[in-house]
Amino acid sequence: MDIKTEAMRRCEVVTVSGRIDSATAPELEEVLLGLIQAGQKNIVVNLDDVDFISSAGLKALLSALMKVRKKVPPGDLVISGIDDDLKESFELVGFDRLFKFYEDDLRAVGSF
Amino acid sequence: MGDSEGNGLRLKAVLDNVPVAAQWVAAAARQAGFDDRAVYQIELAVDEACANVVEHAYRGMEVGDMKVSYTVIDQGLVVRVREWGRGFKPDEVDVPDVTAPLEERGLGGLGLFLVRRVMDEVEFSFDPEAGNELVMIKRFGGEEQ
Repeated sequence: MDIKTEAMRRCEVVTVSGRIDSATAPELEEVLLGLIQAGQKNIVVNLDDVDFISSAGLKALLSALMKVRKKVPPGDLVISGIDDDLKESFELVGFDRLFKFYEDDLRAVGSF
Repeated sequence: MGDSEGNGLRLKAVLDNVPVAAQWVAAAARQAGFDDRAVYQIELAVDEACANVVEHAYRGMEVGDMKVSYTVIDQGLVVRVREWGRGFKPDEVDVPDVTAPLEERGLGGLGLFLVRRVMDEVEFSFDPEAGNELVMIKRFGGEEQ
């Protein structure tokens, strides 16, 4: 798994590639929580180049989402560029009701 | 890596070996004729099952092995994940409320929940001598929903 972060004017774009599983999810969670602790509350997570996500990865994203939504005023963590297999995992555990999904970063960044 | 035993792979129950097991079974599923979506679901189920072994099976004791094996049958693929750890009661694992709003969401039980959703049959057996086994079946053209 590889993670790149890019600060935009109104949000941070976190681009992940590779496999998000039990072994790699803690690193993703650390990056996301690090951004939140540093004051960022609007985050785009780009999953375009992620080929696999397990429940550990889903939990890392949910944990970060809960934290940004608790900010005053609340922030958001949105997903961009997700493929059908990955999206189905979100749907199976009902996370499609909790996250907003965008086709690409342009639309996701524009949502903030 | 561990020993390859025919269609079985015995590995130390550590996180680095979870994708090894999951991708090994996924390759077999692809070869058996499953489509991309089913292969992904099988890889997900094996990953979750093995991650649970690593996280829970040997808690408080020396880390042992996990053995993953598969059999292609006429109807589909049978995958077995065996460990020799503590055992657990599947009925006592949290079942996530997937309709709950964000503020009421718990983080437990998602892995096993996903396994049950993507595979057609899921069964546990526990034996202190022979080991604990999770048997999962994915049918060709099966509908897991």
